[in-house]
Amino acid sequence: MLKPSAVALVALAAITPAFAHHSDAMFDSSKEVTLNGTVKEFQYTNPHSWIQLVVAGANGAAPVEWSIETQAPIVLLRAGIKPTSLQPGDKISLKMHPLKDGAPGGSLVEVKKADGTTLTLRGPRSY
Amino acid sequence: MTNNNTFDRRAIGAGLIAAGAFALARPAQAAEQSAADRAKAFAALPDWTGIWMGVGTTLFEQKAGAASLNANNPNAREFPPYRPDWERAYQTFLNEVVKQENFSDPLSLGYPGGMMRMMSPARGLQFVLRPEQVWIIYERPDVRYIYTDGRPFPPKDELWPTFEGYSIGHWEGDTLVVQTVSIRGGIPIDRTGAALSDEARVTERIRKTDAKTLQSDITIEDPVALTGPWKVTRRYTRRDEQYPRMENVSSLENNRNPVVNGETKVLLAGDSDPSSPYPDDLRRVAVPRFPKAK
Repeated sequence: MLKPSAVALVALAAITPAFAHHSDAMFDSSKEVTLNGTVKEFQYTNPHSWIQLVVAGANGAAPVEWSIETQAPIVLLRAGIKPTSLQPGDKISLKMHPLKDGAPGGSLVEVKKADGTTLTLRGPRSY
Repeated sequence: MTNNNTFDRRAIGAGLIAAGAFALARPAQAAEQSAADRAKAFAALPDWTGIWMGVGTTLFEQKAGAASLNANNPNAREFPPYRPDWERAYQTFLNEVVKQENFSDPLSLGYPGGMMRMMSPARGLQFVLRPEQVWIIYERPDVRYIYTDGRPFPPKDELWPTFEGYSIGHWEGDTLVVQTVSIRGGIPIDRTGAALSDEARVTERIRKTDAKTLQSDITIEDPVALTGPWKVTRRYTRRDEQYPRMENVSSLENNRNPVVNGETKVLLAGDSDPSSPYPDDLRRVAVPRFPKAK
């Protein structure tokens, strides 16, 4: 028999995607897109948190503000992602599953900050 | 104690026996209890301190073979011993809504989860054990109240279906035995849409099986929906972590995923304003326009 702690870890890993409160059908989970930009706002809110990321337009086009959805505060904090983990003005590189309709939005995979820190819900602490 | 109850006299009998064991803890006598008696009544309770997280997936029933699925998966389902007409209705919903990835969770739109879903959490819960009541506190505004003071269920004409139902309990050693009736029917118990009728009656036997595990053996009887008892075991694991219970008020705060014509949308930049938890029309009549903090 597994020790209780091992059982817990397996179970927690198994429910990783369970927190999206709605269908994820609007996101294309088969695609991962990387965005490089500047954090405008980190909305640390229920039922989901959002990263508002301003991405420079290609070839002189106007910058675009992306809306990247992630988990509720109770999930983020337990994964070590705090309200202060992203500050307006932070330059970040972010991986996400894009919206299928091509609008500037997506579902967060992970964030890499300029100092090399990674914010992720993946890995052993994810649940 | 007079007993006008018509529900289940056996259960009430068990409750009364248990109440006898905890007679010192009855509310009517609480004011007269000495500190020593109160200390004794509390000391008789087990220690369920901590934040407890559901083990397994967000499916209510942790059925073998389905264990790798959670209730968000379009192929997931529960296996209640449904009567044929309920099974047909469930399958229709699975095919027409869940498999099309169109399920929108009422829980996330601000509605209470209700029984049984309250006991199938993917989030933390706390058990507050008092001699006369047990409170289960969720990371939502919900608190579940279980009366362990020996009272019977209220008479039938004073009960109406509610999201959490009416729960009485008693202790058998370190096992909390809870009976719940008057649960509002038709409330999905998970994201596959499985539900019960107003006639559902739930018995939970909850005990600590080791320092980090609470186990609840659940039996659901429902003469309208089920052909026999539906038995489910859920476990909760204690998380030793720095963070206490956190608030999770769902869509009431910053819902950027409204459901429009059955489809979940994403509100993009400029389409939403997280500065207030209230929608525009309510904000105008609920809150003055205070200056924003600089």
